[in-house]
Amino acid sequence: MVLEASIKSIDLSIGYEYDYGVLWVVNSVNIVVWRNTTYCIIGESGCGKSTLGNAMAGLLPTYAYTNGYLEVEGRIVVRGDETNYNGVRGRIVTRIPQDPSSALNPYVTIGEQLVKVIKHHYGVRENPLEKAGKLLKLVKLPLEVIDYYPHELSGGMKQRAAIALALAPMPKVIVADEPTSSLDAYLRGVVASLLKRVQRELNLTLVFITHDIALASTICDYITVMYAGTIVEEGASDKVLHNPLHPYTQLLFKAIPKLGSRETLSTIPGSPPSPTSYPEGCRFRPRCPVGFSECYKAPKLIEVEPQHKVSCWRYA
Amino acid sequence: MGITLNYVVKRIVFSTAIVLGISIITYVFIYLAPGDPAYVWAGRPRGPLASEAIAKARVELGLDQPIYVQFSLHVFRFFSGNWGLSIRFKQSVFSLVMRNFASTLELLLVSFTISIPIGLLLGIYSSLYRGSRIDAAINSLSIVLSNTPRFWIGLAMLLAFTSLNIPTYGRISDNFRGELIERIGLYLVDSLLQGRLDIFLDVFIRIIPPALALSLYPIGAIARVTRISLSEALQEEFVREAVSLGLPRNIVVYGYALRGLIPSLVQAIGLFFSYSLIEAMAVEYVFGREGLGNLLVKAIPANDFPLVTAALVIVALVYVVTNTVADIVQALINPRVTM
Amino acid sequence: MIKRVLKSINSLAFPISVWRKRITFRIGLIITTAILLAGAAGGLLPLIYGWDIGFRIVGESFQPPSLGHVFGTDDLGRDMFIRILMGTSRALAQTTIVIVLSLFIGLFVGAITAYYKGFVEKALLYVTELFLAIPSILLALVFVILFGRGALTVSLALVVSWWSWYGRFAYLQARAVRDLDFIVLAEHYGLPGIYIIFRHIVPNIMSPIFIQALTDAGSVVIELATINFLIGVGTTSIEEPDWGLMLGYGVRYIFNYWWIPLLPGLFIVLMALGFALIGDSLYEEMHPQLKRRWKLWF
Repeated sequence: MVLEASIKSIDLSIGYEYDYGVLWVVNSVNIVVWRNTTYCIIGESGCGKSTLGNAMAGLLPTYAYTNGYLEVEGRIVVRGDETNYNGVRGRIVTRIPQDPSSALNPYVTIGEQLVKVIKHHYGVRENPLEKAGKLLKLVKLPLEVIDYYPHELSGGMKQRAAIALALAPMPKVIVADEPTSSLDAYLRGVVASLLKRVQRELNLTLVFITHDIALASTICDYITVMYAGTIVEEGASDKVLHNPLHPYTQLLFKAIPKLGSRETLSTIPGSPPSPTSYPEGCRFRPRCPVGFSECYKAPKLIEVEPQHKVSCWRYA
Repeated sequence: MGITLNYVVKRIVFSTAIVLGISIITYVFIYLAPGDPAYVWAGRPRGPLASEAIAKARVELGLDQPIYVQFSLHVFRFFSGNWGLSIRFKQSVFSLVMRNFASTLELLLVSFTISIPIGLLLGIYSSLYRGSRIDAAINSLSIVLSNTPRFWIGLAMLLAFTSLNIPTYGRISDNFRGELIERIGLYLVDSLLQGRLDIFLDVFIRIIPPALALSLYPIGAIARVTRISLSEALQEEFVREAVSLGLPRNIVVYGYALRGLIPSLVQAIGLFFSYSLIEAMAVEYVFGREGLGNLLVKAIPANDFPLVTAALVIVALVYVVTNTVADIVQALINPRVTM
Repeated sequence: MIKRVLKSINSLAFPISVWRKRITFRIGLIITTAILLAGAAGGLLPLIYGWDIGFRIVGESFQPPSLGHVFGTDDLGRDMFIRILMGTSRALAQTTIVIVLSLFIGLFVGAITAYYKGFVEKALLYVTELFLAIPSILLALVFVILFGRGALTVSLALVVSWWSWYGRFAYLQARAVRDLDFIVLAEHYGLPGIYIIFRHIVPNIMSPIFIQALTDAGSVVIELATINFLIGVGTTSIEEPDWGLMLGYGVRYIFNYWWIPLLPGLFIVLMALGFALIGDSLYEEMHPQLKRRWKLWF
């Protein structure tokens, strides 16, 4: 099967302006997202995964600075410190937000929001209400939702409405930024499998950002683990899940509680560094149980086996 | 929609209570007035029929009755339009005010027709390009505009226009005064209804400079309010979501960001409207137009407080009405308001 | 004592940073300082030269601005420059009284309204809205008719009208603070309501209201001017050197002796502008949402 690249980044860095300069929250990241796959980015809060997702979707805030190169479906969106998302947002890539309550327009019914987007992208080529109905069916929402306002829906329904909205322009890539974080445990699986199904049926590329590793493991084809703004491990999901190489990844997987088990939960000692004070060299070194002298230099992403890369001096 | 009959009723009841409160205040005024209330209420009459008039006024006011009777009489008079006789003009205050209100209202309406679009556009533009030099310029301009007394600017404009020989003093040229048939009291409309384009042009030319002078404050204030609220709205999450769906700038700004602002904008504009009513009176006087302003200015030296009180009541009523309307609009637009 | 001095010097850091960052603040401060100096001069002149300095006839009537009389003379031959200076101190005094009094009243009424919920809240809210509906200028005119033309009458009328503005503002702010944990804790400790209001609620809502008051100073000046303007146009002679009065009274001379009405008006503009510029730049500095760099990114 020939894999084509949907998203490609070369040394991409993204920073935020603050009082004393720029905080770089994503550092020299090189990733490739293949078409028609589900690509998961996992990591703790603050590791930069959301920022990376925003960069792909064209939603970087106005106080963000960039560096490097980012290309989405052939369109160059980041080149150096300039960004250009004209024609990319909506048509090529859309985003599913973390909190649907604030992402849906509260003054307008779901149906109106859908119709607005459909009308803009398709004009008269399609009957907007029909299309809206089809979208709602796709996300398994009852048709009556068209006349409801966002605040009248439950959390799970709102999120599904947001997914329907994201699908309306028929994009090629969908970036889901922690779509399950605001939902109850039961709904998380539902939404995740819904997204996976949609990805397969519509031949999309899905970028799924989350800190819920167990959930990600159920739907993803490729996994990337981020820590403190850098990629520490990435590869095909079966390889990474069954054979985690990076110490951080190993500790992460160990920390997942098993249903019904009475073992004491293991944790990773310490806490992630703040972007104002990243450690020298490998950023995980202060908390790494197996660190050694080489770790004071910044490691590079190395291919250890096909479709499995890691950024750690133990494998250099 | 969050509008319910319950909400509208509640709102109207509250407004009526406020109007009642205003009537209480006018009641207090009558009895603070210098001199015998009945004498003043009768318009300080002189001459052979004076004592009769004063006696009649005494009965009307119910001066020899207990307080609660007096008060209910007063409330009844208030709501039935019997506001006493003007000391200066010796006519019913109510009819005086109603006749002249149309002129002031016309000026105000023309002024707001100019200032709302201009203010909105300036505010939108400066919030979209916030931080740029144009934004700073517009912001400073609106501060300057809001802080010059309109009658002073009007004075300067009167001077300028008159020296250019453009007629701007008065509401209508003396030649046309007898010819215009007043139907609504708004000369602009009446002259069109009559089919007299020449009268219309004359009235129009005379109304533009005072309307411009009057509109400086609303333009500045509307621009400032729009700028601040739109800047905040543009950072809302659902606006970013709309952008991520590929919607173009116009739809996002007008359909999403601005749409949520409509109720608070309407409220602010209503506030500016009632505030400008007083300013309109001052500008009216400067430009020699008939209207409440002219009445007011003549009433003050004559200590004609029934008239001045009536002006107060009118302005307060306009405020209450615009507020109520604004609140109802708020409920219409914002589906979450259920109160 | 020393701590208080140090604290107040510390709080100067904010205005100093605003001075560095914003031109509007600098311009506003310069204008206001000039006005304050003029006011001080206007206040001192009668002390040095005698109480009737602004009322004496010092030259011929209707003199246009010249070296001898910088702003010309009015219809009675009084020097306009001196009268305008005295008008500055009058305007400053009146504005200060109006703002300080209505600020205090409004602050406490608003805090009380928000703190005691239920009937007290509803009743006070009604009263606040009632006074908010009453137009200040017309109320002042009624007061003038009832009680005479003095500066005190007008100022008090404005206080009666303006307190409700701060009352509502304070109520909205206090409502947000009222349910915060430390207030609830204080109540549980049994502290009396009035103490909580004074010591905890009010200090926490003061700063936005103060900034608002500063910007409002400009509107107050204009309202004072408008009131006296309306009085001045109808009157046959004026004594006091009040800007509004001079403007209103001078309208009749606009075409021939323009300096009589227009110059007082200019000073009204300057004073209002100075306060408004300071208030507006402080407001922008205090609101972080407006501070962040913004680019039209879509």
